[in-house]
Amino acid sequence: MSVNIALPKGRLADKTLELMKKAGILKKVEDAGRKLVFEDESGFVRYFLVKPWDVPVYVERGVADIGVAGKDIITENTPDVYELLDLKTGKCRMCVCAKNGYVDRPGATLRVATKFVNTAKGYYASMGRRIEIIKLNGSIELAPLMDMSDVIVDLVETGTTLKENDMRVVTIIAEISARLIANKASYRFKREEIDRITSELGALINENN
Amino acid sequence: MTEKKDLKWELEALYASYGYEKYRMAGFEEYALYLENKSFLTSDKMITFNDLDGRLMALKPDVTLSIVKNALPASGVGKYYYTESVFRPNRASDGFKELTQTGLEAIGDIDAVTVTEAVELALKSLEHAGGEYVLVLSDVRFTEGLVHAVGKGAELKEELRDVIAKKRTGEVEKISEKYSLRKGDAKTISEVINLPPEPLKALDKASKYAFGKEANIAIDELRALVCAFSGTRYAKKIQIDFSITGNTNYYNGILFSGYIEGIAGGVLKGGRYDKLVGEEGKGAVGFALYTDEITEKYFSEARFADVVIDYDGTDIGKLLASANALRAGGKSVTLVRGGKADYKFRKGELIKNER
Repeated sequence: MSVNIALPKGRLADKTLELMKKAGILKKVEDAGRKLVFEDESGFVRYFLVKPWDVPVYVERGVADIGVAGKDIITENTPDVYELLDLKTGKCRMCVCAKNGYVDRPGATLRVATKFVNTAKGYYASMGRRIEIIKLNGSIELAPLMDMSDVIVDLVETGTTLKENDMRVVTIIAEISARLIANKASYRFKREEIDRITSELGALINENN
Repeated sequence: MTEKKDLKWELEALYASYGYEKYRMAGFEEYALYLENKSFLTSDKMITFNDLDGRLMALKPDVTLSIVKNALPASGVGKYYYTESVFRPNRASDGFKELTQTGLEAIGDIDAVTVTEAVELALKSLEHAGGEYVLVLSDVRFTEGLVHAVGKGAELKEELRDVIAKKRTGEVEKISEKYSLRKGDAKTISEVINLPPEPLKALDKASKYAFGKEANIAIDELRALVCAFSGTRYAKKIQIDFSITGNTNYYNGILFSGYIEGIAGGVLKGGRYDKLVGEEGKGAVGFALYTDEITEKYFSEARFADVVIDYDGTDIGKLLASANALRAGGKSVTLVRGGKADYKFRKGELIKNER
């Protein structure tokens, strides 16, 4: 039985495909171009490229049996899927960041700009802090620079963007990396195939780390 | 026409043949009933309104609660089945959704026979859908035994429950480091997450990690259940997997979850929930089958008529008579005017213009 895999377009897809080829799951990595669905010569896998935020949706709804999604997106959207493997790639951190020199006033409502609304709400709720969420879709760093927010909750990979904008990490909320996720029904009916992919990728990741 | 009957009819006949009695819910119930037990529900959001006398009512979000609160017998076992619409939030559309549930509840003096029979009915219900299916069994007593043996402190216990429920093998190492777990504990959790699909092999492996009396009873009961179906056509349809979890304030024993190939989520959920009954010596076991997707996937052929009569300016009396003659012969017939038979009629035989 062939396995349908949803991969996030971009660097993470390239890394995952490379990993799957090394593990012998894929025979050939094709040039993406404008194509969206790829059948591997082996007939064992079929993969398709979708927006990173959509991978858990494809997997949860069973269109894809498994997929690769960032822990940030999984935490934000809480899809009803299994999270089988930490691929230890696409590593970064979910952080609270602010302008250099910013001093928090704990009694005041904190204005938080973020794309990760649920993550930010959950983090501050656990501390009992009153906040106002400002939902943005990109260039989150601009919000405190223009005094639209006090802090941001966002992903930090190298910290270069923060430095260039005179900002700093205040708190690390979570370590993020890519995860192999699986549809719960597919896990029942394609167990052998999914186990093979998980164990072969897992062995390769352990060798590399 | 496809020979499949109505799924609801088939299931109700099945449950009735086991002595279960039909239970009909009121359309609305007092909100307070659901509020008191809101953590039993899949969501605490429900459609509410004020009745004419000012009472706050809810449009049924659940059936089990109503049966348990209204139909507990003074002695013996009350056995009920139902087909009801429930109204729950739908994450995908950001609104409420009407879902059709068919299920059963046995309440009162529950014993191993009642539980085994409920599992058998769950297997038969899945079989009726017509596709490949699996019934996954679990038990909260085993999972809780493990969580309490490994986890010290509420936060760690909660993380462990989550790791097991989501099969987060990648997190086990991190949790182990964060909470300084013993070396063997991380291995134990990983092994329990990745039990083999064969039920007896899974139970043999799990039995090594059964901590405490209750967890060992759980393994014994699961083994007895698996053995009860050995040699039957259901033997290969059962799996053991402790990622199936339930709220421990209500569930106190076996849990089950059913899957049908081609349908993304679990279609059947149930278990043993004596704590919901809340009376010493009384128990409950039951399950609900979510039938909408099953009907759509496996029973939707019935909407095609066997014969389509494409009429145009005809003698109406004659037209009806010829349609009825075909119906009398066991065919389903639909009348469509002037070549407008669209896709949904195309599977039928087309008869042109009966003048």
